[in-house]
Amino acid sequence: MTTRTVLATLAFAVVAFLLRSAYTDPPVENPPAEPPPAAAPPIAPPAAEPAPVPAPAAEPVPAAAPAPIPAAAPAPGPAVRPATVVPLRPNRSYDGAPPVIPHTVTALAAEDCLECHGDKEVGAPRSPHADLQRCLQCHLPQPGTGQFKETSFAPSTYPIGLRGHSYGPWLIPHPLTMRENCLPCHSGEKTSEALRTTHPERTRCVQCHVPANERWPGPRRDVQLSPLK
Amino acid sequence: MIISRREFLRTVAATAATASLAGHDWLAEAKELDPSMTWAKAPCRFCGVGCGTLVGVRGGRVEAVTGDPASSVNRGLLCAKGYHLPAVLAGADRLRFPMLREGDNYRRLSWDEALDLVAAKYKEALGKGGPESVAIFGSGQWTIPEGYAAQKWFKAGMRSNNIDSNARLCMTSAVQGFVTTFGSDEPMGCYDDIEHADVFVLWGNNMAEMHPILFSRMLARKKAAPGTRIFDLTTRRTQTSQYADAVLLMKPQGDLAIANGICRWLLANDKFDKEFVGEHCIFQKGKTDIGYALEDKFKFQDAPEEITLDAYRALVEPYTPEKVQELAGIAPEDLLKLAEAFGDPKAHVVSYWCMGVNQHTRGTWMNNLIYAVHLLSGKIGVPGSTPFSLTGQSSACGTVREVGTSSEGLPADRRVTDPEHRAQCEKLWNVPEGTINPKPGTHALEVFRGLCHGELKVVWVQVTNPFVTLPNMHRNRDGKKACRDDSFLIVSDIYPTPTTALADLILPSACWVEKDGAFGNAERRTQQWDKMIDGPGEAKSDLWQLVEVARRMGYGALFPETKTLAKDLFEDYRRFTVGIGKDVASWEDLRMAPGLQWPVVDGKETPRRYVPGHDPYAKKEGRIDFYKAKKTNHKAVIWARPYEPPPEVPDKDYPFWLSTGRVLEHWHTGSMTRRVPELHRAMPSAYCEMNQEDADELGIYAGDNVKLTSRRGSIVLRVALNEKSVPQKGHVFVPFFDENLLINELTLDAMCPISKQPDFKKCAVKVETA
Repeated sequence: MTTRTVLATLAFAVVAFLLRSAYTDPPVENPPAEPPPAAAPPIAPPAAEPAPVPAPAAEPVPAAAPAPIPAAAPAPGPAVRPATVVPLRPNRSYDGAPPVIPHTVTALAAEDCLECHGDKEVGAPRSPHADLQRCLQCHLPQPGTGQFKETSFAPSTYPIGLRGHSYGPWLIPHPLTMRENCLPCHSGEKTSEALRTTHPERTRCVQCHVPANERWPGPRRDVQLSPLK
Repeated sequence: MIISRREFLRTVAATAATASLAGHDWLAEAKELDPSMTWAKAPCRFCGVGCGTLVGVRGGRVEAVTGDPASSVNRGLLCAKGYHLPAVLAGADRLRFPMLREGDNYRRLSWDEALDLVAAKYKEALGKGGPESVAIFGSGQWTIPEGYAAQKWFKAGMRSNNIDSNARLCMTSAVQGFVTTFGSDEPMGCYDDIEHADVFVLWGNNMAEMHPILFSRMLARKKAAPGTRIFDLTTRRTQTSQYADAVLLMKPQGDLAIANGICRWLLANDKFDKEFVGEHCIFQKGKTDIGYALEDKFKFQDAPEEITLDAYRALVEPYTPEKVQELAGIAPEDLLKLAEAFGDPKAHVVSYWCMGVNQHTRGTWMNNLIYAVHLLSGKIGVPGSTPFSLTGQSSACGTVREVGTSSEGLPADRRVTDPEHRAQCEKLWNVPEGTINPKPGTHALEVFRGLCHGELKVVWVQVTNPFVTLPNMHRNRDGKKACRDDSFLIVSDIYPTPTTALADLILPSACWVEKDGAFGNAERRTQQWDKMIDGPGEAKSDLWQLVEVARRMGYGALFPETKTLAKDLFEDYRRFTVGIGKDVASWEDLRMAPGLQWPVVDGKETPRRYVPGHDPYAKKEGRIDFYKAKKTNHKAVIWARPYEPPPEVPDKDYPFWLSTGRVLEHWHTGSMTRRVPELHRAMPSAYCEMNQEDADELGIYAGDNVKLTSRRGSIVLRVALNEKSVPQKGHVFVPFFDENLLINELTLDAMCPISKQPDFKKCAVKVETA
């Protein structure tokens, strides 16, 4: 990625971030018609149905611009956090599918993506698996529009917003595959308040927050696997 | 085979624990799966890498897919296609009912009517024109039981060898390469060699897009062991090149010269492994100037002749670095770097290749030559050193190559031309002696030429979309359009395609986890899955369709009634593999494992074939035992195969090279992946990649439309400049996934005379503004 592109992307991210508070709903205009223009306007999330309440920003959506992510829900109480009980499926085919890229991509290497999506907080969602080096293998830009043929795929979502009792720690509602590192999505100024941890200094998250679901699939339930070294 | 549960569990644990991708605790992850769904394992539907997935089902629908952390192939990671498997099944236009063409309309049939009609058509053709007048064209995406059922029905039932598959378009050069070099098909190495290699050599292979998970493992290896190098031999700068340490941009067909140049350098500089070559190899040469198989009914028979090391030395002597530069366009110092990597006795070298080498008018030769490089340098049979032929399709190995569903094949490395093999199969199938027809049937292109000429009266196409993928489409498709009444084309598929558009009868199929099945991946790993959901409407598995027709034709003795059809046929097939070094695991063992690599003996899989201590069939002493090379006394063959030019090269009228291929986002012809919104929007239509200099000369800007024309056809495409890949000056590249922009109307149907596999990578075109 050239310096110019980086600067342009950064500038765009900042502008988009400043504009963010102006949106109360996700922008609904279609992505740019192909071929994509050089600049990267915000595009709508490809989810078929708009989220009824603002979607939380803490999903690892690798966007340079947080455009599809509207403002966080107004002042959730610490015990309720309403924003966490909405479906988490913006920018994805289903919960667990890799989020798509809502901006134009001109570079291919992981270092280029990590300029904005790495450890440093610049406003873009940070990658929870920055050790993997080929982002575009799973995360796809969306230069095209519309559909080739109609689809009837409309998955339901994970049950979220769970806790054992009203004072218990929140349970982890999603698989940890590719999300082993909690802090990129659950800490930092730019993260949605609803999902931001109040105690980022405690780094052993799973000591208190346990996965809501624990189950081996089908016939291999009894298989004991030794841990990888 | 009896295997104790404890022992089995240990095997599985050992397999899963072999190695890890840096920084990830893959096993911890599988535990948090949504309990409101039912989860079970299945191999990915798509490519030959064979990633393990866990499939989440709720309300009779697949709603989520995640990488299986217990699979030693992918260890929890998937690529964009794999993650989008749920929506692949859910296109709104899934085929739901059997439909018969009546003029320009279709009439819905019941399954009984449809199957009776197919049986009657086959019977009628057999009565009038004999076994030569019927055919089936299957797929490297057939499950193992499906391919086996078709094989048994055709070869033991109808006595017809006219069974071939789309693997003819992708893997037969690899098969011929293995058989002529080692006496047995399929690789000796395994994916775990990645974590032991120092050097990766990619022969015309864009792994970043076509084998993404293995590419990730390669990059992880590079990160974990910083001196690791990737050599990218390629005709265009691809996404793979971005990560390579050396990109050797070569002329099309130049790979023949490069491989010969390495062999010459190893010998001339005394850097070859004398002990290994002396003990485990012989030298052979075959016919040269062998043509391009463009004629109808082309015949070719190679004439192998053993030669001495000195004679071999003389044959490769012309390939000096200067000569290689002239033929391949790579600088002598680049060739030297590559040759030195093979000549370094300490370096572990893995070669990977796929369609660049196989879709090649000298594809068999090119496979032979890569083996020659590895055999001469002794880079074979040790962890981290292996020549590894990658496969394109999910079960090109498991079904087409192992079950032998080709015009000359029989199960487990057997051939219809070998009387002993025929006798073995007749005994196992319990059919009278002399049942199996000794004459090889028609290969893929002859099937469609025969359909066009009216020689074939009934052809059944399953799990493939030939009227997008065949080369030189006008020659191999248009005849069928013209003589629709003269022949009967049956197509089983899950969506409408350009192939179903020409069908006389369309049958709706079940897909992936809508049926029981098993696939075999590129590293000899057999992976089984159980049916999880029903197909839409009346869709039924291709297996059930085949067996029902065979029974209606009176071949019920070959397919006894059962409630576990896939399992029974798999176990029936397994008898052919046991005891000869191709032993596949039992259905029940496979149900419990993420996958097992054959030969599976006493419950143990074999990651490295032919290697004593790894492979129970290999003799204890020595570095390696090529025990399947019986004809050459357990020695592998180093073939002398010269450079020969491609059949059509750019000239004044058609000045550009055209190459074609796949893309990361779509599976082959896109009939499944284009129906996934995320994948379609990522890659909405085909394009023409050009070099910036050529575009400047022609006054073409990115996004303009250009008209590409070859001697066979013409299409208009959007120009892509500096997008995914960048071709060399004088080259263009077009992907083939787009059924609305059929690049195969331009490609040439020249073939490797030995394997009969067409070359989709080289022909001449002109480029005009449109």
